[in-house]
Amino acid sequence: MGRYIARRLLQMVPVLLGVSVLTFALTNLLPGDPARAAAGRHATPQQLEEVRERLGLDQPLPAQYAMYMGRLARGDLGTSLTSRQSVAEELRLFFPATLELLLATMLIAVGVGIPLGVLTAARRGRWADRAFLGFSYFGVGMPVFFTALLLQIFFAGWLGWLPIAGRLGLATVPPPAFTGMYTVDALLAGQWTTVLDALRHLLLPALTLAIAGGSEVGRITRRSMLQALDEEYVRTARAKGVPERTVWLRHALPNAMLPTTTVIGLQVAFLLGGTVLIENIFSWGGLGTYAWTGIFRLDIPVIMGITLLATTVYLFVNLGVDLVYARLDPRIRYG
Amino acid sequence: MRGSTREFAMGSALFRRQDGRLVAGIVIVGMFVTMAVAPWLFTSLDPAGLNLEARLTPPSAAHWLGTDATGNDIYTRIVYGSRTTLGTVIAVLAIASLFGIAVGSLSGYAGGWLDGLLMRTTDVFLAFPPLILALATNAVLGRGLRQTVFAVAFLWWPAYARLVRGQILALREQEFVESARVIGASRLRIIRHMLPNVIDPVIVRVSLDAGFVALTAASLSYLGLGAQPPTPEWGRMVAEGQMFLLDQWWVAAFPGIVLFILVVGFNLIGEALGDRIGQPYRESRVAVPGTAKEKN
Amino acid sequence: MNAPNLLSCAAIALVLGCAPAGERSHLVLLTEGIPPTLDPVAADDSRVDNQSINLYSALLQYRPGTTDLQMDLAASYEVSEDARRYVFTVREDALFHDGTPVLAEDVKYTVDRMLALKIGVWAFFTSVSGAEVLGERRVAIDLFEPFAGFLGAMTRLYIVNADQIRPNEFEGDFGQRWLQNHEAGSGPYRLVSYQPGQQITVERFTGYHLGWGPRHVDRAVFRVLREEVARRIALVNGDADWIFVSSADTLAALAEEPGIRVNRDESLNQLYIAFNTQSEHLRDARVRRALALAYDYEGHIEHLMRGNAVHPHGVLPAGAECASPDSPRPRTDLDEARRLLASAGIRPGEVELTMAFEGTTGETPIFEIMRAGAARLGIRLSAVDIEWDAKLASFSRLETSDDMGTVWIFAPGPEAHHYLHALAHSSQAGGGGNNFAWYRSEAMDEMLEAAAAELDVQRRCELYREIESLWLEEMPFAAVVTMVAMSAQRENLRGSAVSLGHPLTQNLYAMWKE
Repeated sequence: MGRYIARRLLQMVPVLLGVSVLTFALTNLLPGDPARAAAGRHATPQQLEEVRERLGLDQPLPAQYAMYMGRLARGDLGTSLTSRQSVAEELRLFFPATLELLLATMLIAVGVGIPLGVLTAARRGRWADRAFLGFSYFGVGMPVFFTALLLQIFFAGWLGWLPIAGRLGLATVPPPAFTGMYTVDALLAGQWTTVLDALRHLLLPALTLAIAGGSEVGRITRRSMLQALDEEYVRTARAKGVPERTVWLRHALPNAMLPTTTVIGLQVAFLLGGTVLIENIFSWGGLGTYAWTGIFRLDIPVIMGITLLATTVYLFVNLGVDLVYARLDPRIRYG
Repeated sequence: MRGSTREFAMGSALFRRQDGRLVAGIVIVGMFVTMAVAPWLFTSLDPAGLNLEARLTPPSAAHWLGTDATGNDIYTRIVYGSRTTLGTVIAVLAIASLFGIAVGSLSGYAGGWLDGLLMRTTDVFLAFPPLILALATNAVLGRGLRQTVFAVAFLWWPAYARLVRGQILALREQEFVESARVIGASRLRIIRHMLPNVIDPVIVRVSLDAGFVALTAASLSYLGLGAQPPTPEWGRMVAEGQMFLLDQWWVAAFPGIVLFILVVGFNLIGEALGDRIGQPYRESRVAVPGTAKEKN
Repeated sequence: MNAPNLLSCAAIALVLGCAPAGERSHLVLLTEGIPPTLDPVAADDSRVDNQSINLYSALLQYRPGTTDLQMDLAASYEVSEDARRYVFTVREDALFHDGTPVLAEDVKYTVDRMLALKIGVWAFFTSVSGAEVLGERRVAIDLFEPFAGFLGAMTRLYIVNADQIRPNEFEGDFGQRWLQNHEAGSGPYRLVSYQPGQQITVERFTGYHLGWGPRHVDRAVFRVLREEVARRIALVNGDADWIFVSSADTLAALAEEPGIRVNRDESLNQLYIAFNTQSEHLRDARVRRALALAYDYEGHIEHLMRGNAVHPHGVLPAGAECASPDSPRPRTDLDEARRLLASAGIRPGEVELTMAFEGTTGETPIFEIMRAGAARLGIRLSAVDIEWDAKLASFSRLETSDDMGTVWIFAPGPEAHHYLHALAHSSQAGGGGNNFAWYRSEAMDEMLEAAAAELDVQRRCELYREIESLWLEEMPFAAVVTMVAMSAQRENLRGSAVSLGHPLTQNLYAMWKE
């Protein structure tokens, strides 16, 4: 297993390199002049040249790429052209918000989706099954931006139960930063009202994403359960008189979890770069917002940084999915 | 991959059995296709006029679904908008699947270093955060429908390349290919014989993806990147109507509902077809680099 | 919760009686734009000015809601005979938030900084040559030539704390990096916390030189909420005290809500449409004039804005200095437009143009009105929906500039210079300037410079009359409408007044809750 992980980690390197080359090429095609952006609007031609030289923008592209990678190797993601802050620092600021949203979403999606999938498989064809299938069409088919609007109008506009946007109430002081995730930080600091406030704000955006994600997780679980129950070893187990409950939980469920794991992995991967919409609508101020402004302000180091971070997390999620696979399915051996 | 070794003649087994989902899906999608092809059958109004005096009027006999902020008939814009959405979906999937088939069959058939190189390339594309890639592509190419089609296709082709490669690899081991090789058929001929067997899974995959492509394209339009005004586009219509949601709810609600119906239609077809060859619901996007699935 | 605040409360309590901590007044203000920085040198951007006016002080300031100048950090000022040197004396009691006094040295640093960086508010001060410290609290600011708008522009030159910034300078950036998310001001409120892209929390600075009465707000939060419907719900639910409103429809709906008051304030914010004078089809002024005649100004004001906008006077907003009701108001005349096109040798269906606008801030209908007008002349207009920052980048080079584009002028004062020079002077073409029309005319440049240097109002206005005639002849920009500043608030909020010279900003010091 250790050797397998090491090999997989090594395999990530070329993918990351490829992604960095692709991003670098793409961002250098962006209209606009990064030297001008850094030097300021009224810089004299001479000042402009100085900045160009200082940032290495007078070098040919491959050399610029090499310089970027050289700095990257030292953990330096460069400086944002618009905010002049270290990109690594800004990522540390924005990423936890997205991570918090992502974790909450997956918690709901998995926590509700898997049990629902198993239960509806057990009640195949009955009303609960049909109701869930019907709902899941809704969940999978609804555009998230539309779900978000409906939830906002309903829970915040009409009922007034939940705040419409933001990460914390306006009177709430952010808890001391440790992880950057408000719920976790507030828990660690023992500030219970802040925990509650953060959760109330987290609920709507997470629910919006979890309706889509949970529907998919539920469907795939239901489906794989039904398939697994149809497999020979399950039939054998039943024939041997293994109690139905054990058949379900010990034999069918682990196998059914294989596709579910993959779907969960995919969801995480999609959410990583896909929270732009939701962050915009809920004023969440995470990676998505950062990417959005970075791209429209043509801030190349920012775009590079976000892409590399999202890709790295994605690759690790994949590795995680594969390791879960190995645990669940004795037929798969890594080595 | 499950079912990949089964042989399908093109389109044969796929549409034979009756399935309520398939029928419902085809009816829904068929209706939108008719709208897109012949919008004048549904409405006689101009989807992109300007009538400031009549802005934001509620649904009525004259305007079945009301009017929007520039006084255009929403029903008419929805009818014409089906053109935009279906056009995007078809263009994206055509580009992605054709390019994917080309790369996938080349990779699967050639094997060796070329296979390795191509597959590592798909790894890179699959690892790229999708929406960020789409945003960046739009920033580079400018905003517009064509750019959005390109950006989304850019995201989608690797999945097809991998699917086709998997099929080709499985087929290579099969008898009829072996015998063709023995009797000295040319490589091109062999690939030509193999392709029809690859098509069924691709069709299923396309039907499974269609709804998701429609959602992705609408999301980009919602962000202001896709079709530019005055071209009607549902995602953009939602975006422009959302500020009226509390009073003039019809401006955003109807385009959102219509988009939802189309996506459900696509998903019904996709699932029905997917079931027939045992390709689970949208697991097709699974082709993630180096997952265990590849190893068996 | 916060030590300095409790202390200050205790101090005030001795004199006036201070509300217990639980009843301290909070204000929540919801805005639309994400400020790109907290650095007040960028306060030409109203998203930045909104924070700056509360965190910083300038030497002079407008009385809230008016364009009357009053002393702020300055106790007095003198102007030299030739109007090229202004000597300011800083108030003795003016303090920065770190407790150190505001000195002449800080004013000089602020001026030097702006001149070296050449960004942001520098655009209002191109005539400034430098500053000289004359005494501990006496400082001179020198001009290359007289500039009529100088004192008005000074309201945007927010004085920064030199001693606090110097240690934080980085590679000659005059502290730009540090000021991005810190403040070094002497304004009524000091920064408590800043979450980029989300919110800014400020609280009372007890040492503020203009002093505190019993009613002022203790603490305020500016939060960015991009969706208008979300801002509206937050206000109605009581989660916010004041919100920015961009659509007349939202304003009309909010006017019906109990407990909510809507504000329709006069403003100097002016919308123009630029015609790229270098582009193939728009090179001929007759085509530009024809397009200007095709826009439905009446429909824009009456229907789209439901009356929450007014016709400009000529090329200036009605409230601007030198704006005259006798100037021709923009009008729609398709017949004349067609005649102009015909005389320019353009037949219907021949011309296709692009127009850039910001859909995310609700400008799509503006494009639609222009498109419909152009279509009636047989000119096809295609949309380029683009965010402000990207629009600025694309119009900074001729090759990437569109044929047409929307431009808003949010001027720092009522002087005509801030509109006409910012748009039509050749120095403002490209490189991030507002001359999206790439209009370069020696005659126009000379007239604009002469008008700016003319100190006599009468003569200055005569010069602007001449500029206006040339402008309408050449039509590099069509003046479209002057906006009415729309916002909404809870009824118990008082003192919210949009300052004409600080568009889209809220001056907390003037506000209180009943």
